[in-house]
Amino acid sequence: MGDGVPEIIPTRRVRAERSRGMTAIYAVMVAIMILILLQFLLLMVALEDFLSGNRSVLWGSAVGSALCFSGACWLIRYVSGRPSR
Amino acid sequence: MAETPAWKDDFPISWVDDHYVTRREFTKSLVLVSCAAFCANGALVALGALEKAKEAEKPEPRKIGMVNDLPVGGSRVFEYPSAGEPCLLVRLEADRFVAFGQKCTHLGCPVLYRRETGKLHCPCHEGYFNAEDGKVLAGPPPRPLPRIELERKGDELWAMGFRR
Repeated sequence: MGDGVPEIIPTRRVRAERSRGMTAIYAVMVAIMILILLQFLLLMVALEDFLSGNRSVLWGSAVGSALCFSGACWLIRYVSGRPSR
Repeated sequence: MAETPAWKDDFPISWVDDHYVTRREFTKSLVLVSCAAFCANGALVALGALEKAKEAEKPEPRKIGMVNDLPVGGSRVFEYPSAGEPCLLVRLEADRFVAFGQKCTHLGCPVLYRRETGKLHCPCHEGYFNAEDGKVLAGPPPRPLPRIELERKGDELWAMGFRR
């Protein structure tokens, strides 16, 4: 307090950290939901391709789905490391 | 006021806390959904590869029925080259038979022969095929129906394989 810069009291700091943590969790949640939506779209395209007997985009959609899944796994590490509640 | 049962003292479980799902747990379960979607996609790739391998094999000739079993303008379903793979035999004229795979090339619905129009019809999405050669006449199917080579041996009809 002496040098003119207001010092953040510990409870405020905890609240700010918690707020930041919640923002990160929400961001990860939304990002994973978007990836899942993309995966379902890819799955629909693959299913239609399989049923029509064409089988030209099956591998492409599987690779895309794998990328989405690995993206989700990469994102979840930001959530799993934080303390619960 | 009712007294608290004795078991609640012995097992003090808070159901509210027990059923509480944290955002973190929910996010983790989303990753499981993502994993399931990826596995489903992988399963489709595996099934596609299996079917491709099966198509590469040359099917064995097989007797599919007698000539007189089918009236002129009639149709009949038979399984070829193996069980569970339906095909459609159509008698267009007294001495003219054609056979096609029964699965529509759009999404695999069974096609039916319409005697009144002389076309093969897929009722799922209104696809029409020419009964003479299996070519697409109307609707969403992207490719013609796979045609089966037929051979008449006396009074018997034989399926000899798919025409490429």
